[in-house]
Amino acid sequence: MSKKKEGLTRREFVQQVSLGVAALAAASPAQLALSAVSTTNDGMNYRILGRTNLKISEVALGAGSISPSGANLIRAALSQGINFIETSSNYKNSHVETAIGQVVKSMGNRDKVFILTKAGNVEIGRMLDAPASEVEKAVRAELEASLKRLQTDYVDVYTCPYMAFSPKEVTLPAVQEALEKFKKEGKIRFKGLSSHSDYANICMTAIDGGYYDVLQFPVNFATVLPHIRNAVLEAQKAEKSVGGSGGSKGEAGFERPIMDVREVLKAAQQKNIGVVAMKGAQESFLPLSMREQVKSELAKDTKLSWHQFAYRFVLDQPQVSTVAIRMANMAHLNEALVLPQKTLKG
Amino acid sequence: MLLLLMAGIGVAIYAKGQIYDPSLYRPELTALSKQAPTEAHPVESRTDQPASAGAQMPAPGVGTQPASPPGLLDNLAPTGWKPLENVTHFTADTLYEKIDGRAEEYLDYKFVGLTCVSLVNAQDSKQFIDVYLYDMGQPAQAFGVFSVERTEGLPAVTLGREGYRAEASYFFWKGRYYVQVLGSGKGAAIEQIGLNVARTLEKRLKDDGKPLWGFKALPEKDRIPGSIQYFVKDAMSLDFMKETYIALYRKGDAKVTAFLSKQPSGETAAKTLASYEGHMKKYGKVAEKRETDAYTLISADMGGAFDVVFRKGNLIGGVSMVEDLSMAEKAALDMLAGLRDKD
Repeated sequence: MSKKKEGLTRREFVQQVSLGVAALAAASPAQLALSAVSTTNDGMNYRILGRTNLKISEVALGAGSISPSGANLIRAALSQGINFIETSSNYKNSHVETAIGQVVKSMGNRDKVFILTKAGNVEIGRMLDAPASEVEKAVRAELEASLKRLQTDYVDVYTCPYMAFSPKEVTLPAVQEALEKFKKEGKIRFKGLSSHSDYANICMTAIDGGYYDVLQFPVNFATVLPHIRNAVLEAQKAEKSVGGSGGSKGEAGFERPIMDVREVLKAAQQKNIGVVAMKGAQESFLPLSMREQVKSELAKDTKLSWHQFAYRFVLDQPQVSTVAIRMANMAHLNEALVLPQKTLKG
Repeated sequence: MLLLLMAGIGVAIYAKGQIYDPSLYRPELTALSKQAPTEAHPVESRTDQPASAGAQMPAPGVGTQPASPPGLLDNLAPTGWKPLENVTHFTADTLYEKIDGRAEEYLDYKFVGLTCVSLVNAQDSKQFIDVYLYDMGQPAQAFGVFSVERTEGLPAVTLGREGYRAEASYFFWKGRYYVQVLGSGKGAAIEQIGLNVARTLEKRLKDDGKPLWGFKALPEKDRIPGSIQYFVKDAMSLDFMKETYIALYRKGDAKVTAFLSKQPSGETAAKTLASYEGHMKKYGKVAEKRETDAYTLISADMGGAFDVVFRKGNLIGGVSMVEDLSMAEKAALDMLAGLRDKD
């Protein structure tokens, strides 16, 4: 990044952030999260997952990075008050579901653990014109395989489509019919939807149609605070105008859409739909170069690490039921476990 | 048998998820890949560095030559088949463009470059074979990524150092390379063609044949074949367990997970042991700490499952998540007695 470009980005950013500080201060004093249904037990807070009425830990074990030998982490998380696991059939080539199944079975607490898994290998977007029977067959095979790996008869939330790309996937009758069948068969308790592409529109479609009990989409500084979103978009533009990649590299880079989810959060709350927040600290939503600036503007002298700060912000959104935090090791778990007792300042 | 079948289905689904019908899906996939990373492996770098920062690679991008020798994927198409397009290359900075959602795992293993080619049946473009050649820099890293992706119960195939098959797809590692040959559909014909492609490529890959340290050091008695895995970091999700080999051992009816890591020095090993003990105290209850002239051994109840860790010189080893304490201690002591580290 050139010095000139860096300076420009920073100046513009600080200007915009400064304008937004007052808005944030008004939005989150005294822990907005307290307005959500929340109870505390051994340091962990629990919230109600919308109309499912499941009482889940506000910190969810995001299982996407757990290694095949990660039983330690799952066991530790469950023993420390986390009772909601967010996983998928395709995480680590299905090894994650297997590890979860082994741990939950050996702990003998299936009824106290809530598992959200996804039809990770079924691309509904490619089946829009397929016969309903084919859609059901594909999703059923995926679900049955997950149940087998998880060593359980049911999952609490089953997400399909996984990673929806368009509202058409949400309204596809074949998917809804299949999910309703699985519910009647007792294989799934509640229906979930996840998206991080056109997610604001997709989630609004789901909410308006009443199709889903639980939604999972990106909730973070950039999707909740307009001034930060604008600053990030401006930074992207500046990067691209001088031939850069537009910010952070690595997966997703800057290509992931940064959408305003405030209306989605509000609508979800009104319709009592559970919200599982994801991408709370992802750099594609807020590049590394802006982190310290956001921290210093929003909670000067905060004692939290960046990830704690970002996830704490997500939890301060009262409509959020839980935040899925990707954990690959015990250090990540330790960082996450203290979040319920923290504020943005530390 | 049922488990084997399920494992097979699982890998088939996984492989299916990676492959595609080029005549139908290529444009869509390209678009999806760029626009919408999966949430399967959300990339939230936990350090303050980009996910690819550790790779120390220039970023020439797609279409330029990778670090590995050029030409490895040239002329791979069997008779009646042809390449769909030119061979493509991906670096640490561009890997996500090809395997979005899974790149981070490879980067953890110090990925150097990926070279790919798609071969299609000239008579039937729905039949295809995708070849992914991952240059992982070092044999241990190639084995590591191979080992953590491997699904238990799939048929082994004599390919490279170690290989297996799922339907018409083949996976193996050799030298510094991890290879995936992903065939479309199923049936003897496509399986044979996939195998021929895999064998042709295998012969082109150099390998000094030196056994990996973990294979030499881990005891052989009771070890379940094909169960060794290598983790560059976060073995057993423990952030302090780096460069660790893990293997499954059969103890009666039970399978026991054993681990072994060679630390740079005795002092480092002592620190790692202290970290492990701290973990045991935080998330469990230490049952016993035994110190002899030859080793230190600590066992702990981790909430209904038992860990035993030992330090012997600069080695850290033990067993993890064993359902019975006495079995865990015996397994750890067996391991201590059977260590074959001669370096």
